[in-house]
Amino acid sequence: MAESTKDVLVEPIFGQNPIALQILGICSALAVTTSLNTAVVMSIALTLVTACSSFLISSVRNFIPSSIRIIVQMTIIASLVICVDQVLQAVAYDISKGLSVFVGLIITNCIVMGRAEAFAMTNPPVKSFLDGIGNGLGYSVVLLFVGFFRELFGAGALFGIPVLATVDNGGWYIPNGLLLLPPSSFFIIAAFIWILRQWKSDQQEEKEFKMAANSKSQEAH
Amino acid sequence: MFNKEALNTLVVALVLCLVCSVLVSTVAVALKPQQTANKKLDLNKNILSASGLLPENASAEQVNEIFSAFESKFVDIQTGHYAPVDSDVKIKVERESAPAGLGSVKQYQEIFVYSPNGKPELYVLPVYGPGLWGAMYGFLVLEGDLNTIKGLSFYLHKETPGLGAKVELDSWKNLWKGKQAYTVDGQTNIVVGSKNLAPGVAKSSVGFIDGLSGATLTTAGVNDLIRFWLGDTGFAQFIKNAKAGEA
Repeated sequence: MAESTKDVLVEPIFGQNPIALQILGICSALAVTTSLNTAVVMSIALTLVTACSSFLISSVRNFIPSSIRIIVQMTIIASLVICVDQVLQAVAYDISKGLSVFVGLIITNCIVMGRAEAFAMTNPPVKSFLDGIGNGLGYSVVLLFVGFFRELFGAGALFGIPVLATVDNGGWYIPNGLLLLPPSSFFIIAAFIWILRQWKSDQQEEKEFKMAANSKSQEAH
Repeated sequence: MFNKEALNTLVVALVLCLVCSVLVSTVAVALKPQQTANKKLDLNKNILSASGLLPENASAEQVNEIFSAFESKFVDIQTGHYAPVDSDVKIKVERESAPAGLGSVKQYQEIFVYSPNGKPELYVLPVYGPGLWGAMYGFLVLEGDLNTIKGLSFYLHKETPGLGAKVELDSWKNLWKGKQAYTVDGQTNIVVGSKNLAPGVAKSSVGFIDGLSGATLTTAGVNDLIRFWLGDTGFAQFIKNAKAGEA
């Protein structure tokens, strides 16, 4: 691998964004982005887990028999996730209540597994650690982007602080209930991907179907 | 029987499991006291918030200090009298009277009585029952007349964030304030959500509380569990006794 250390860290944020380009880890991006507080904690938790698991897996990569490598990766990731969950329950109880099952579900987050299998198994520990941080940051960027719009227009607040005075509290803003529901994230993530691919046009995929140049529509007989 | 590779695989798996389990259990044991304290604090906060006694941005010390004025008592929900001790005796719930999924309840329920001037001013009653994704646990606080509702608060539930989880919103909880729990002839008065109104009954004729839009099943769950705990299956007998001063 000829990638420089800086590339490993920075490239996943926009160039190789795990959500926007590789379309991994969508499920938690839909679930925990109703408010920025939970999005931030989830981002930190996932970044930590990805970085540490990549580091650990990479340091033992030469000892892992290939027949059980997925199980070994899962065990390491699961142990780290349990630790993060326990720490959250001890230090930030309210937020851990808000995140409920989603911290536990980091175990099955495709980004963590994906980086372990695709990068950490073939790269040295420090580089893998940075790769984990980078991918965690890429995930965080999308989460914060989605969370910003969902909380602002869905609840009229940012980080729980009211910004737009909602009708419920005697203001003028009628919150858009759709933004509090998971499907709204699809629209926002799609918009994010669209903007990103306009900016970095090399990420655009080739068209699978292309209309022939001189085709003419015909009346059905 | 084993070739070298298979042996190697076993050793790696064994060592890995050992290291990981030691790590996980160390963290769990080390953080346990802090977590238990957090849970207890959260519980007390919920009781205070349902009672309308929680100051804004209260610190842990403040919460515990205010909460120390609450007296914990046990009520035998079958006889409706105070019971001297806690016990794990369970009563099987008749299927017709129970909200779906509530199989049995403890016979002795822990309630909290707030009597700052000698006379009980608030009764904190535990209420729980199934919501959409799992059981919901909360407190219903009645004023000294044992009829006017002071507040409601759920401290543990698994409802959908943004939908059913709106049971935690102040704007919804405030709807409960001042509602009469019972009609003049002693019937349960509270109905939650217009779908749960009996046909032909006007909203204005009962203690009606708006449901949560987008959370029909959570609303139904709250309605069922409140009616269960206010009814003869729950605290109705105790409330009758306490009103007569014979609890």
